[in-house]
Amino acid sequence: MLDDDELLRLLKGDGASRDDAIAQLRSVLLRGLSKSLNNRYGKPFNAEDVVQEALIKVLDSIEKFEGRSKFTTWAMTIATRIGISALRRKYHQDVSMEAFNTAAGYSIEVASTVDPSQSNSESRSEIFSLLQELIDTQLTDKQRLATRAFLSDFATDEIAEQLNMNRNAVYKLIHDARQKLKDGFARAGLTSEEIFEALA
Amino acid sequence: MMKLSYQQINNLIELTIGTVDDTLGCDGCLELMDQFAQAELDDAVMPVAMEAVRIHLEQCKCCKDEYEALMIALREVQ
Repeated sequence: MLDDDELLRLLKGDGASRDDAIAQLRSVLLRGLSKSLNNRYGKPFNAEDVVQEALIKVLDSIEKFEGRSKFTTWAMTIATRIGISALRRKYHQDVSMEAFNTAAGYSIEVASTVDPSQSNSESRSEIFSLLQELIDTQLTDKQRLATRAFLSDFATDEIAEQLNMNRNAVYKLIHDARQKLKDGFARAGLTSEEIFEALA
Repeated sequence: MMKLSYQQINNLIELTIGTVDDTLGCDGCLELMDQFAQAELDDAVMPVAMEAVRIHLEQCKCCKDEYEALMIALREVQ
């Protein structure tokens, strides 16, 4: 088994020793992804399906490796990103796309029934009403759309794909929406403790 | 119109309450993830610059999920 530095040196070279190094890296990525991704999200996952793509990406980007981590750590980071994206696409093949359906607008309805006999039912109703008001008045259409997709269990990168945006922009949309809602609760004089107590 | 379930409302409120400033975003986190993982694997003192990664991972379910999978994979091949 080659150590990290030797593996990197041979991968940057050519000939049979490079082929051996590629085989070793492939084996390492396959073992890692098989362990980390199989049955993640409750679905079987064959790491063989993505390891070749990951290997090509690592080899194509090898000159960008700056040595801030071990080479295999860097390579596994790239492979994990490719693998988990493939797995998420598979996971959501059968999931309802209702969250992305804007035919009836971009609204989110906070309509959960509160049982009046429960303790805290009054404060819980007030919090739900305020949340509804904040969603309606503070969030943009895009923020509402991204937030409801997120609450429907879509990962940020999948939402980005659906909305033709990048992952960072979607994250920012959702994060800004959360911040607006948090600010709204604060303006209403509600502390985190009071909110959690009402929901308990 | 999308109606939220009781669980979704709770999730949204928990996310809202837990929101803190995040200067890094997903792009910055993905850029530094290997370095952050290496420090954790080596049980090294986390560089100050990595604090932003920790904060982002607490805020972003997508990156956190990816990071957790990465750590499982790395521990398997160590």
